[in-house]
Amino acid sequence: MGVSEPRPGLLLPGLHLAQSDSPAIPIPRTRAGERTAVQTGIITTTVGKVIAWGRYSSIWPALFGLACCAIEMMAVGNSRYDMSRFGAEVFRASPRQADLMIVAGRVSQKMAPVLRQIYDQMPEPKWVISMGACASCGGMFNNYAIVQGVDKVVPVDVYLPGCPPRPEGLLDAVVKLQKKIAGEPAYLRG
Amino acid sequence: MAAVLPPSGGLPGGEDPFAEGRRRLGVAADLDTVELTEIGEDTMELNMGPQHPSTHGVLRLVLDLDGEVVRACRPDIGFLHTGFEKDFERHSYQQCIPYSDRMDYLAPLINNLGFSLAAERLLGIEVPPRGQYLRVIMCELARIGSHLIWFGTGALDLGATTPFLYAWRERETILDINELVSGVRMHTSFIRVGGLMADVPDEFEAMVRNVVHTFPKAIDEYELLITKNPIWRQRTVGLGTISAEDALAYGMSGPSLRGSGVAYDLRKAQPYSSYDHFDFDIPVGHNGDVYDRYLCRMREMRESLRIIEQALENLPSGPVNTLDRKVAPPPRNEINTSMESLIRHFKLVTEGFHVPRGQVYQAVESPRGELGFYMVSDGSNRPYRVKVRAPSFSNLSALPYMVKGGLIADVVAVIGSIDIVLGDVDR
Amino acid sequence: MIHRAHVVEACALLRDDPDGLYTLPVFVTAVDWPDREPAAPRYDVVYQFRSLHHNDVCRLVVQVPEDDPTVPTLEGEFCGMDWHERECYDLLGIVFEGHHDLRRILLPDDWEGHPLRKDYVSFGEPVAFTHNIEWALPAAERPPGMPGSSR
Repeated sequence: MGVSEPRPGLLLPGLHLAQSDSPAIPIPRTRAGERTAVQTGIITTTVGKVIAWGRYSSIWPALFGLACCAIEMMAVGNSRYDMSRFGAEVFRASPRQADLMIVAGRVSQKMAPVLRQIYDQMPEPKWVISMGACASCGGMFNNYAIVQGVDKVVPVDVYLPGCPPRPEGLLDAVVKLQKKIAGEPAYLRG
Repeated sequence: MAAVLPPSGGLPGGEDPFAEGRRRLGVAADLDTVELTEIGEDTMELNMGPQHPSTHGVLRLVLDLDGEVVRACRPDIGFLHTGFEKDFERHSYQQCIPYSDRMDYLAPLINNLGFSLAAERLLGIEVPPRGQYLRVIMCELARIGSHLIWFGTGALDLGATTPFLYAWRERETILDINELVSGVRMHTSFIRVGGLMADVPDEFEAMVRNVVHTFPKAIDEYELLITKNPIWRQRTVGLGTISAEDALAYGMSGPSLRGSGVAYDLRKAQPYSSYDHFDFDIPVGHNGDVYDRYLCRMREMRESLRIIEQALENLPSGPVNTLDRKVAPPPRNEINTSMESLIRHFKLVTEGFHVPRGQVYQAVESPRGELGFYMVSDGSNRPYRVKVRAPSFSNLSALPYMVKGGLIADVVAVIGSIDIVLGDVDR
Repeated sequence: MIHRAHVVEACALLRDDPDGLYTLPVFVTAVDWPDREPAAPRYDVVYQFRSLHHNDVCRLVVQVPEDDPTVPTLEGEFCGMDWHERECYDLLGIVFEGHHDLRRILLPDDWEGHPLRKDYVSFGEPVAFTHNIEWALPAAERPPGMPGSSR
């Protein structure tokens, strides 16, 4: 059986391959003297990194569309942009099953308590993407009816500008959020 | 009705397996002797929304249920109230155009058109034929795009996932045209007071022709999937019925009214932007149920394609903006050579144009119905008052009537069939 | 332009007269003229109807004064006016007498004021530019090093 190059997709982030030099277990060596996880069957990593890996690889967004940006959020789910490439396509109608809230659109004064309640109903760990100018800062609606930025109601992890942002923008926000989750210690949240 | 519970303790040995649970909950052990209270008269109040996947936005419905039957429905709207009408009063006329985009965000161009036409009537100016034809093409593309979203989400509400993906695939080609002409996918602000943002680029015609050629096949495909589908028909035929008289009394308009058999379309009845140059039909239904409204919209997409085809065939040449220098900015080469043009351009950008005193009501046919702008001007560069007559608002006010007496599972079908946009309802 | 005492009968006439048949209620709204010259009642309540039969629209204007902004409801004549009247009450504070359920419709129930009146200040939040920074963002709240803070 030939020895192949280590495939990055099979490696967990930051894992250290076991260095077993026992002759009883003949392990094929790769070029750099390391062995892939599949070949050895052994990995060492930290619990925090595995938890973070699990968290960022399957983000379940809450199905929470408010206004125009929700249409672009739906466009991200369709075949041209295909959010499932990033493992984040499972939109959940119930906040109890979601861990990402994409605030897609302007938040009115009447909607703000509802938004907060939905956020509170989501189980920890949870993240928020503020999608669009209106959700981020009130946008062009600097008036009596609109909350000037959803960060007055819920904590926001990623701000995404645009009116509305292109679907590629939302994908970028999700990737940025994944990087953020990967760098977070697991004990910080839930 | 009195319900008799099965005897407690299902085990043959006579031991009650639920005794421990009952003790902890404080429930009497002899539950089988308890008579339940009469529930026939009481209704259960169910909250639906504002965060609900099938309300197409942030609509909240409070339903009084008797079992599965809806006894009353009280919509609670305003969760997307944005204060557009106040913002219109604070901005000059051209600055209002981007605001109008964001009201009915499924067909932004038609909002642009309504606002522009109202302001143009106050100003007493006319857009050149090429501008009018391009407006028609863009608005009909927006109408098809809006109907595609309605088709995809409406079918998704009733459990059909495939149409959603198909409809979005086709809608992207329309968004590509939006992007080509204006640089933006959705909120183009392409139609402005006095004409258009700019003339269309050369690739425009080929892309629109592509839409005209490919979409009939795509709509055939949708109809093959859905129209005669027995599941779809069972979920839609005979539901949410409203008669023509009632629909008129509620102020309904658009396909929701035409589904009840009233052939009223503002594009035919009071043509604007040279809609009278085109030959098209008004599809009408007979029964006023969900299925007929569905058929109306599907046929309307084909009629829109006919209009686009005719407009493209007969697209005149010439300017797209009005030649009235008080409204439309002068062309670039004039700004470079003439001091007056430079001043005029500066004034138009910073201050905007002044509109004569008066009031006007201009209605256009949006994908949802009669979208009207009642505009009052006091002679300044800002509208004194703009009232938007939103079609979804009136259509939604008939929802309690339409769902009353039906089953709760059909509420989502009826909401989908009147095709509301909450940005339009709440403004 | 008619007097508010005759609104109901005028609208019923418009609806039932064979030369009118204005059966479709389009909207009702109001326009606020706080300092109108010469002095006239502050609010114009505007009704709009559409006649499909004659393909025509008609507009009625009722002037109501500031201290008594009431008009009778048209809910009995046109059931579609129900929500429009609630919206007009919500945003402009026109009271429709006899309406069965005159509550706020767009804004929260505990909202104060009527936003579309001209004296209602609409700013959500002041935007700090260099020319208005003292007003928009007082020095105590200004982060150090912010542009304009040295002035």
